[in-house]
Amino acid sequence: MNDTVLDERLHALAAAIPAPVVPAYDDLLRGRRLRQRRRRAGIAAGSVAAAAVVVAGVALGAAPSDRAADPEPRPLQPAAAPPVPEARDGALVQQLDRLGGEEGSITVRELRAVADALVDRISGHLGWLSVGAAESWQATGADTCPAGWTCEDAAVRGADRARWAESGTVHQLVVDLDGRVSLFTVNQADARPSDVAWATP
Amino acid sequence: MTARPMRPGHGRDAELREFVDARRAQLYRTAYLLCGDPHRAEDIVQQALAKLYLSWRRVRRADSIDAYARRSVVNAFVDDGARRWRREVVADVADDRPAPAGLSPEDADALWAALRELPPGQRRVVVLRHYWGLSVEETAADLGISPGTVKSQTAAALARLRGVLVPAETGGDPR
Repeated sequence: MNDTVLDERLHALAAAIPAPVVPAYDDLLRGRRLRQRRRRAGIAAGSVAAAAVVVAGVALGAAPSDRAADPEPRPLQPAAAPPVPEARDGALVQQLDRLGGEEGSITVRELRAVADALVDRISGHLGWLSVGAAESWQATGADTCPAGWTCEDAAVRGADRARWAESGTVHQLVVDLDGRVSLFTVNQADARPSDVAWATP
Repeated sequence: MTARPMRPGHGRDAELREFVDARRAQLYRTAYLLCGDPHRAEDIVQQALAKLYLSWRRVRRADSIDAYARRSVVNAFVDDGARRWRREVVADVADDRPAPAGLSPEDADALWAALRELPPGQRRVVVLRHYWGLSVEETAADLGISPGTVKSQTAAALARLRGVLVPAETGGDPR
């Protein structure tokens, strides 16, 4: 009995409360600002850590370099690939810093997950790396797989979805992190790839 | 190069906008019932919706948008709303409230005062169960507490509110 009376009275009370008219757009803006603040804080606090993660990833990939004397060609030979760590990692951090103020920014934790996925997947020399932010998953073209490429779903911690594309020495990983889509392109040859499966417009 | 215009129907924004249009008033009233302060209620809702924006994809995928929004409102209230409520002078707040339809101003004031006297834990259970109409299990899931706790808090709250609820219905003796 009390249950019913309480239901009725609470609804009567609530119905009399004048809810302010607030444009939904204001709430969206607050959400975006909160997201950007968190991203910036994460990137600012962890830019050094980001570099460390990527360097660690590269180092892991470069670990077999002490076998450089093996008779078979080894993809990882620091002497043959001097530009790898500093230049590439510096470029990556620069790109991340630049992304910090944009919608497609990525946190250190997320970057760590991506770095793990890259290192797990790509054995050997990492060569050339680029990072891009896309407006949406569809905008990268990741739902398609161009002829000559092998595409498959990828597992990246914390990602809503991720997908690999590979062709020869070129690997691409597109990652959707809570609506922020980033595209990582690796060419095991030390050069910008002449052809890619997906791109950030 | 010109700035890229925002696409009106783009993913999260469009979906969240639709949710806000449909639910904002109810969330605001929930917050108001919990804290009794219109300004604090607005703050709580803004916080909850900003957090919802951040978690939108995950929450939507889990098909738990309402639950997440309710939980955010309740948590924001619990974080610091209870202290504000206790500091309020009842008459000041009551003066600003419009009279509910179907409820005398005296009964409305009495219910507001009785709600104010409930401990925050009981108040949030009352609001979720009797305003949102959630079951014991749904309320427990929302609040992250056991169904037994929901039941005991509901019973305790009803016992406290009995004096406000029964006399008006029976016109006299509560027991």
